[in-house]
Order: sequence, then structure tokens, then C-alpha cells
Amino acid sequence: MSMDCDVCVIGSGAGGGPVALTLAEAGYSVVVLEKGPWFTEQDFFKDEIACCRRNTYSRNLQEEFHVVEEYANKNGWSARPTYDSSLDFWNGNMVGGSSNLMSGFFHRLKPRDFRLLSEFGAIDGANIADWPIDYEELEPYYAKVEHAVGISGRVVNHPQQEPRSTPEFPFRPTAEHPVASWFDETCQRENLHSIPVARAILPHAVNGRGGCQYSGYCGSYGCSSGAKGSSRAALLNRAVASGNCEIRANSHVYRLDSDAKGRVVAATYYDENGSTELVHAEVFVVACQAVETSRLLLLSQGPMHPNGLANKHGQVGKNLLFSAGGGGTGTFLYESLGPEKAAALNVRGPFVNRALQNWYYVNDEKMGRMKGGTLEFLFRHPNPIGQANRQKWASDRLLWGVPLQRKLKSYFTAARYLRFEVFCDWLPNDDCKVSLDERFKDKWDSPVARVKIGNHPHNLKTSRYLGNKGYQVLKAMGADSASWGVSSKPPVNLMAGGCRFGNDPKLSVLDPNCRAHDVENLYVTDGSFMPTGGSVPYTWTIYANAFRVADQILGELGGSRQAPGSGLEFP
Amino acid sequence: MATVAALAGLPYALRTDLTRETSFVLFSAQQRQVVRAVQMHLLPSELGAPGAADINATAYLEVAITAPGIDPDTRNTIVNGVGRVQDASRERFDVLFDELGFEQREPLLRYLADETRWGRAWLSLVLYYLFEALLSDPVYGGNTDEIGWRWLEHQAGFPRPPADKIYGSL
Repeated sequence: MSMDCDVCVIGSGAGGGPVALTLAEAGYSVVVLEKGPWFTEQDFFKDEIACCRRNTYSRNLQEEFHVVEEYANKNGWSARPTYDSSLDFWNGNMVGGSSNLMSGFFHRLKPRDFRLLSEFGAIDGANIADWPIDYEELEPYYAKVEHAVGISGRVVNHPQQEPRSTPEFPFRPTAEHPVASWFDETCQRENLHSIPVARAILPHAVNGRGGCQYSGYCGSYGCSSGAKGSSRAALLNRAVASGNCEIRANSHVYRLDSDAKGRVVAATYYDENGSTELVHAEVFVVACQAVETSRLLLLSQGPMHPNGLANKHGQVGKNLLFSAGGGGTGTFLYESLGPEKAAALNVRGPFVNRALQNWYYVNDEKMGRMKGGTLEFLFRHPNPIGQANRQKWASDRLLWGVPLQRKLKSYFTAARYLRFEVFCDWLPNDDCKVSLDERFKDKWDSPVARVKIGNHPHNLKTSRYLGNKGYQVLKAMGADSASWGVSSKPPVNLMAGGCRFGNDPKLSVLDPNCRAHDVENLYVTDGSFMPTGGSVPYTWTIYANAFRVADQILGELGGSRQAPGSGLEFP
Repeated sequence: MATVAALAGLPYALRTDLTRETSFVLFSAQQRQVVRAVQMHLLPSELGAPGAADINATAYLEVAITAPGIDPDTRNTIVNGVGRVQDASRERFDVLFDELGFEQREPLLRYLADETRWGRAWLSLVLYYLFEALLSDPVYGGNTDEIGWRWLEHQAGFPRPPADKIYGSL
């Protein structure tokens, strides 16, 4: 059979970009199939309507949707299509995927995150498993991402600092808001370790990418300068520049075809005109984000895979992860501050860039010894429409007229709002998984993914513990008022799992190198591989692991075809 | 609805301009009167505070909910709600809503918001689109001369969207 390329990558986000770049720069032909359009910096503007109020970066839910199954009451679960609910599980459908829209708070996992079961023991109702690799195996790739994606920051000593092979980040920190120093002073007073948060954001222009423009809008928005380290801006543009990588946007892969030996032979997709096309390749890499990756494997039945690819033991889709947590907000009234501090607080643009990991591990009388998490501090998102819409309620009563106008004026002009977000482990469990819905199909006539979002009670226990800590910090900073809460709802921009890697083929989908146990030329490189998620945002780990797997694939293919050093190097 | 279908193929920005010049897109003239009256009641023009009339709110709503990609349920909810407001007004006061004075509009809308499920949902939606008209980039046809941003001292991000790169054109 003639091959269209050496490697076909399905999905172009943080899991797909490192593979495409590594193999293209090594001289292998790569085709990337991306479901969404190919936007560039020339298409990204600070436009709340396009960004956040419409489906510019997701799908039309009338045509493509998910069925979400939630706990209803003690009698059972209820399932609803997302076109009929407030949930939307699409997230950044475009070249570069959701990494275009991330805030870029970058944290590594801790060494103990790789062995959560061994370190903290089993929890009833949770399918906790140790990773089949350890931190030391991933560390060189965390370091590689710092250069390849472009991570800015400052390394400080603190009790949870991970071992590093390099002393510093390759880029100085992005500009910090004056409130960061208030935070540092509070932490010093309260005997906490203020951590400067590394960001996947360039502070200055490098290699054709611009530096941060500090427009005050970052998370949820595409970056207009290229400073944000999206898979597209940081990796895929370089992959294309190598001359060995072709990106096919608006290409919806709906099945991977396998032969009588069980090998994948083709990715079958609809192009932007709705025509069916195929890509034949030696190796296939799936990175469609957790839910859609599991769905694609389940949809891809073949002679040796009657229940879907890599699903011999029925593990595909199981142990889906999100990031558990909640958050809180402190209100800082300008009138409570002197004119100088009020003016400093009102500065727009620079970042807070601060986190706390004092409670990443917990061992106290009340809670016992357990895994905790991270508190990330940031200003409330500046989107004015979203903020205004939340002011229309007074308790559960709609507000309008002069009372509404007074409330809006006060909300927007009398205070600034400092938030924290809680990141803690979403424990894998039997009630959090992906399957194919038996009733609903999308516009392509394929069964949609049915996502069951069971939340283990331990998640809420940990979230409450951390939420209260964050609240105390805001109060110690002098917030005029503060509130916090936890949520059992999954944040859909923080998903992983569903195809966990492991040594036992009966309990995992992928081997330690993220190759399917029972499909020799199929790899999964998005966050699906993670058996547990750690207590930080996943993106840095997804990038690092995808670079690690890319090296494995490169080795399988016979190593680099290029002279050493011929690829573009980041300083 | 035939006009809506005809407009669907036009660039969003062009349709925004078009609605400023034409009197019919989605609502009938009567429906538009009611929508405008409700919007002006919810967001009145006050000293120092822009109201619905200052931000082109009615035309904005009409264009926004006929844009491609908008859930048809949203469109239907808005349109059907107008008829139900009229029905409620006739039932209670024997006149159409836009003929009522403030003293009659307030208790009627309060009743609909507090005592009826559809009324609460409808008014919530109308308010939401008022906020869009107040605080979206003026390129979409609301927030005239950035009056909403200036009122709330909001600092817009940059770069701002040009007319050929807004939702519906991307």
C-alpha cells in the first residue's frame, strides 16, 4: 500500500504539536488533521462577542454535541444533550487546539504525583493508580518544553519546588501587577511561600513570535502577538517551516481503519466540503482531547478490534479526569485604600502571577495525611458582558432600571476583584467515563460521546479545605469582603484520562510509551494517558509527555533522517 | 422569516449596517415597539447612565439573534415572549404594552419576572442582550461611541476587531 505520509497526527493541540514538530524536523513526512479552522494572529482580537459569547472556537451544538450524564438523586442519573443544557464540552476547535485559549499558568507535576497510590494509599470508590514512569523520566521533557514552547518565570526555593535539570527559566517573568507585591508581603507575614507562577508567555519577541502586549485579556482569548505558547504559534508553525509537515484544517476524522492484523492503515475524514478523504500512514497519533480521543477509538471498530481500537479489555473511555476545585474572590474597594494604592490596584495589563502550594500535601489533625493542591491567584476576568450579566440578580430576583444601573456602576468602578482558583486531584472513578451514546448522533451520523461526570466525594473535601485557605489569604491581604465555594461540576477546559497508560494491558489502554497495548502503530499523546492528574493545570505535562512519546516514535521509525542541529532551535 | 433567510448569506457586519437603515429584519413593527419599550424600561436613560435608546439596543438585539450559529431556541424565545407580554398587557390593562405608562409597566414586568417561569427567562434574556449592546465592541452596532465602556470606566483590550474580522466573518 502506498503511504501518504510517515506519520498522521489527529488533533493539533498540546498533544499533537510536539509530535508533528519532532518528527517533521527529523525528516519524516507528517500530516496533521485538525477538525477546526486555521486561525492565525491576524484573526485574534480582544472581542468578547467572538471569543466568549458565540461559538467561534467551538462547534454548533445543534449539529455536534455531547450527551452528559449527571448524578440526579439517589434514584439514579440523568442524561441530556449539551444543546439542551448549559454545558459545552467543545474547547478550542482550531489549529493549535485549546492551547490557543489557555491562560498559560504552567506548573510541573511533583515527583510524588507519579505515585499517588503508593504515597497516599487507596481511597474507596476511586481507581487511583501509580504512573508507569517516574518524574525523572519526564523531567528532561519538562525542561525541553521551557525552550520549545517558551516559558517565562523565576525559580525560587520553596518546599514543593520540583527537581530541575536547569537552574532558571529561559525567559524572564512577564510584567507583574503591583498587587503581586502585596501578595508577597502578606505571605511573608503569614509564613507562606509565595510562588511566582511560570507562564507559557514570551515577555519579548523571539523567532518570529511577538512578546506579550499586556492588553489585560489573555485566558479564553487567542493571542494577537504570538507570545502565548500555543501549539500552533510555538510548534506547528516551525513544523510547517521544516517543509515536512502539512496541516489540513477543517478535517473531521471520524474513523481509523485497521487491517486484518490489527494495524491502523488509514484515517478517514470529512474535508471542509464534506467529502470523504483518507490518509494512509505508517504511524497514527491521536490527540483530540480526552473525550473526543476516546470517542474516536470507540468509533474505530475493525476486524481485530470489534469493540473499538485499543479496547480489547474495555478500558477506553474509563477513568476520565478533570481538575477538581473551586475558587474564591476578594473585593478590594478603592475607597478603603489610599489614592496611591488605589491607583496601583487599578493598573490594567500586567499579571498577578502568584500561586501557593503550602497545602500541596496536607497532614493535620483534622484532615489527616492526604494530597492537597494548588491555589492560583489572578484578577477576575475582565470580560465586561459576562460580569454585567451576573449583576442582574438580587438574590433570586431580577434587577432592572435605576437599581440595576447603580449596581453596575458600583461593581465596575468602586472595586477590583482578586480571585483564586483551586486545583486538586479529580479522583478517577467508575462514574466518570466516556462511551458512545446509543441514541444520539451528530450531523455526520456518528454516535456522539456520552460523558458521565461522576465526582468522588473526596474531591469536594479537598476543595473545601483549600478553598478555606485561599479565603484566609484574601482576608489577610485586606480584602473588604471575600467569599469562596467549591464545585462538583467538571471544568471542561481541564480534561484528561480515558486512555490511561500502564503496564497491565487489562487495566490500561496504553503502554508506558503511550502506544496502544494491542495496536502496534497507534499512539495517544493528549492528556488521555494520565491515570491521575496531579493538582495543577495539565498543559505543561501534556506538552512534555508528547515530546517524550515523539522521541519514542522517532526511535521506532529509525531515528532522525536529518543532520544533527538542522532544526530550528529556540534560544 | 423570509427576510431573515435572505440576510443569512450576508456578512454579519453588512447586516449590522443594513439594520440601521431598514425597518424590518425579524420583528414586525408592532413587536419592535414592544421590545423597545421593554428595553427602555429595563435600562432607562438616566442622568449619567446610558439607556437602551442610547446604545441602539433594539437593532442590536434583532441582528444578534438572527446571526448564524445562534440557537434557534433563543430566537424563538425572544419572539414568542413579545407576544406573551402583549397578551399579559391586554389581559391586565386592556391595552398593548407600549401604550402603558411607567406605573403600569413596572408591576406588569415585575409580575412576569416573579410569578411566571417564561417571563423570568424572557426578561433575563432581554437583559443579557442589553448588556451585549452596552458593552460589546461598537463594531457590532451597540455601545454607541463607546458610551457603555465610558460609563463603567471599562478599559477595552487591544487590538480591537476590525469590521471584517468579527463574529460571523471569521
